[in-house]
Amino acid sequence: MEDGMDSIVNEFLVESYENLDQLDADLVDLEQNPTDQGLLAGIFRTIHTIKGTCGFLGFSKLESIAHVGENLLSKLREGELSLSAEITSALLSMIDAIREILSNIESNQDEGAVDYSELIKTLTLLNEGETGVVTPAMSTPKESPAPENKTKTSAENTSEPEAESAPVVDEGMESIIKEFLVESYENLDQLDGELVDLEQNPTDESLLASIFRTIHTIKGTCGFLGYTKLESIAHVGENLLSQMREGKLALNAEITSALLAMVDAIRNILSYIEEDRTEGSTDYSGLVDTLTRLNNGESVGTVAPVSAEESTPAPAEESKPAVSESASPDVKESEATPVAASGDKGSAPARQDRGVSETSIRVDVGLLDTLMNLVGELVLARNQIVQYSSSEKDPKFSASSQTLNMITTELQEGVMKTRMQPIGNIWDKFPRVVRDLALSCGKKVKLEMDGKDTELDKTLIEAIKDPLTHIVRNAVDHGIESPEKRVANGKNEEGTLSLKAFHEGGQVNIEICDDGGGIDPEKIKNKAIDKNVVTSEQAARMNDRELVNLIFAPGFSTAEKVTNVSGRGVGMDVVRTNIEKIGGTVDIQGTVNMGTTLKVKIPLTLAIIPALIVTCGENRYAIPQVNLLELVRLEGEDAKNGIEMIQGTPVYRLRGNLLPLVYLHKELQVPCASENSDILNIVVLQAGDRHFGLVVYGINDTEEIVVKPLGSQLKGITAFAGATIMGDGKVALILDGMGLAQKAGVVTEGRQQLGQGAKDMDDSVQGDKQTLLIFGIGDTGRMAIPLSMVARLEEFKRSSVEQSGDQTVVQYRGEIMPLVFLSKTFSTSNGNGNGSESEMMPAVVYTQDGKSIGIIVDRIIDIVEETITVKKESNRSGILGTVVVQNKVTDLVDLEAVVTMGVLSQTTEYDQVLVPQLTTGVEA
Amino acid sequence: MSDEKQFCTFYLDDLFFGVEVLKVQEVFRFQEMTSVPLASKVVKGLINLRGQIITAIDLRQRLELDGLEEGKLPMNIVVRTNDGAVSLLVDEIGDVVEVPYESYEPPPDTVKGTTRELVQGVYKLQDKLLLILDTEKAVQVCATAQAES
Repeated sequence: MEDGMDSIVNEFLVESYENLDQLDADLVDLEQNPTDQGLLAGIFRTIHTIKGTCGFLGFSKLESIAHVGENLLSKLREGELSLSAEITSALLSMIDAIREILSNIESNQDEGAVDYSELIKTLTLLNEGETGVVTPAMSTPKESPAPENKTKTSAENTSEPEAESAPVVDEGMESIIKEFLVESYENLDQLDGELVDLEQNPTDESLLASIFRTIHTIKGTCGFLGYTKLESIAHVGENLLSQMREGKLALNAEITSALLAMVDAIRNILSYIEEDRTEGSTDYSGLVDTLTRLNNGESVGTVAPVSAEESTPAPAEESKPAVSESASPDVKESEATPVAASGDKGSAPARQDRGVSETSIRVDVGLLDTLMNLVGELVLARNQIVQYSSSEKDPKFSASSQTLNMITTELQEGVMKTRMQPIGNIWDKFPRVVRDLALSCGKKVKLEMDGKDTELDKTLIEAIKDPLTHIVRNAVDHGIESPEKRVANGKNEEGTLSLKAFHEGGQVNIEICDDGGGIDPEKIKNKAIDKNVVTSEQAARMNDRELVNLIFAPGFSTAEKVTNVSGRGVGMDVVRTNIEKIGGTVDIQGTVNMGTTLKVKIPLTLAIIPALIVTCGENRYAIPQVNLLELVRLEGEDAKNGIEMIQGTPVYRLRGNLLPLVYLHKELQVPCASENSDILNIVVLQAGDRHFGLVVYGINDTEEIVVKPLGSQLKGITAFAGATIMGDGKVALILDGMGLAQKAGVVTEGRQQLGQGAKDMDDSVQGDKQTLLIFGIGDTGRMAIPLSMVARLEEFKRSSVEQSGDQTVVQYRGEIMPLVFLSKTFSTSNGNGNGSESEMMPAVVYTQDGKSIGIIVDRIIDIVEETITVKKESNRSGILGTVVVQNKVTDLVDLEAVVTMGVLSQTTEYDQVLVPQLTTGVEA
Repeated sequence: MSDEKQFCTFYLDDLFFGVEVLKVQEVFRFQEMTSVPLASKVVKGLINLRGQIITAIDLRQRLELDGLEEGKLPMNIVVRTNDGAVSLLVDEIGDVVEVPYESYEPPPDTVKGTTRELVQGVYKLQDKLLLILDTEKAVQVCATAQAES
């Protein structure tokens, strides 16, 4: 393909993709309202445009497909065929084929090797299914570049609208006409310039091709819309151009003037159309005549009678049927009034108002991005001035800074709006997706969409496209049941999937709601345990909603229902990751048999984000609000006693849950004066699945900040997500919650706990790398349990131990916790053990099913990560085996057995307390 | 190559450096900056340059020289690099000098260490030597330097 054509091809691709998306939606709509002429006309027109253009560009395969499609559509339009599901499917697969070819063209400039003859046959058969009945006179074979001879009716069909001279202006057409006007005006403006350019470079083929194409598009569309006068003008112009393109004519000033006059004439007619949907009464036969004669190689000066027929065959042969549709009658009929081939005609009926095309322009997204950045700068500068003005007494200055403030805010909103796109842009393809899917699953689904106009930033639109599609597919595939099942459950056999979008609290809310089978928390729970997503003890502590949300956990896949549609394992965790990447959240709620609702919340824009400003050391830091859960302030005694230690790791009890604490100044290695202060500020942050508390020195305020990237010198520091400029002009670093958590080790541990905890236990005696808690019993006894089974380490006062019946208990967190004394259980050589005289007793708290058991040991020795192999299987009860840890012989405690011996013998209440089978994996 | 080249000069300890004039975006006095914890010692901080955040590099640290004596404030030379603008902190800014190409020589092999790495070449002026700084290299190494610290 020659270089000059590239831009044309690209333009064609972009336009066609857009059109195809529209087509998908339109076709599905059409299936609902088969008689909607406006819709049908829109579809027909789109296919026709694609056909015409690709014919011109020489994509014959594409053209032949579009061509048979067009034929079928034209039958529909004329009422000779009525739309059936079969036809819709065929048309939809045609669109897919076109899309496929387009992507081939895009990637390697040719149509690809796929054979679509089957599709063409189907379409033709469908078409002919009725053609036999229709008057045979209709089918006059005409030349067509399409390889199939079955395309015979096309020329008739496309030329059909010309017969009706009255413009079709029903409701449905209105929007098509408007679109046509906007497009044509744009094209005409471009034409003006191109024609003049062409005069300078008469041999520039790509320029000529582009002009040709524009005129052709106008011609094709207005022919379809029934504007014969316009069409006849465009037609002769096109003929002339095609002669030039073939090199039969050379461009001269005369021809250029004539073409420009033609452009003016078209513009004139368009303005009439815009006003009252008629072409106006101006007679352009003179112009048509001039163009025709120029086409025949004559100079305008010489008046010679010409038959218009001579001029038409040329293009008819070489490009497409659309060209062959004859405008010649008009030309023939027109009186041969010679006109000066100048532009004076065009200026006659003045167009005061060109409303449609002037209200919208196309702007490069890059330009908008630049604008957005500049506005960001302005916002910063504004912040600085406003801050400065508050300290100044000058009323004039503060007045003008206030004005600046307001204008900046408005400007910021305005520029944001330019990047806004309605969510309908991505929703438009869902009707098609849902229809196809429902058909292939044998389900009936009705799609309702509400809030299509809800706007959000273009980058966000792109980002949520895939996740949303995934959710919708899931809903149809897994959510909505088969018609039979629905009827059996007393529901309407047609399922409803509703999409809702709306703005709320500076966020965009998207709800995807189906009235299907819902999600059974029990099933989720079992599956999650099956897949080691959570341990059974964790699962037992979760409520239904938490359980349902487990479908977002990595590794959770509905593998048992793998279909070609969903459940391929990529699953919902990808959906969540993608949504969280843009600062959004996703939540799922469902009731069994009632349906499922997925709520997605995303921010309006990314460039300017709200953030909390905190101080640490001498610097300020910004924490993006999306990571922020809550703020906790501890004062006085609480600040001193609220923090507890697990092996040197500080934790805080937040409403009964342990919150690991990370000291910002320690992580950043900066000095912090306030370590012993009696005020403690904890910023609770979310990092992945985990929460952690960030201890900062001071909490300032929330502020809108503009995120700026860090230089390459600082890219490696994960704790920072970027930098921003504060109101006073100083630079502040933006903290990355996730990065901090990773740095502090909060997240990796957490992941293991949630994702692999159960696995770890299974492997614990199989020689894999294990983290073990080593503790001592008696003087020399060393024992170990996997750390993953330890909920907490505590110390109890000997005096706090009480008796309840025959059970030894202690009050712990408002509950009564039974105690097991390991030294007694194993009755070590020293009987009760030596170290047991001290006041404090170290205890390992072990929790299952919400019940805790304290295991009193004599001392906690260490936590080690080591590869363990069981050296000797034990026959002592309560001991799984003996391993060598840190070069010392250590007994591996069988917690299950210990608990049974220590507690279960006394009461049955803990029957359910079962440790995941530790015994199974033992290998000597 | 043209006969004369223009260099923006600056002093660092007792060394006399030059950066090609075209690479210099601007020069300004010491400005307060935000230090970056965890970063290499070479990165002195971040500067707000009219809404643009640029990294300031302590050239003394970079060249493994001793710190600037107490009470003296460095100056900024903002240079354009492939990674955007970066500010170099130097002791003092000199004149823009025009030097003949004939006086150029590659750095002698006996020069060792970081200086050897960062000096592209030497112009022999009448009374002193002008060391030409390789700005790309000077601002690059910091990512690795972080690992050392």
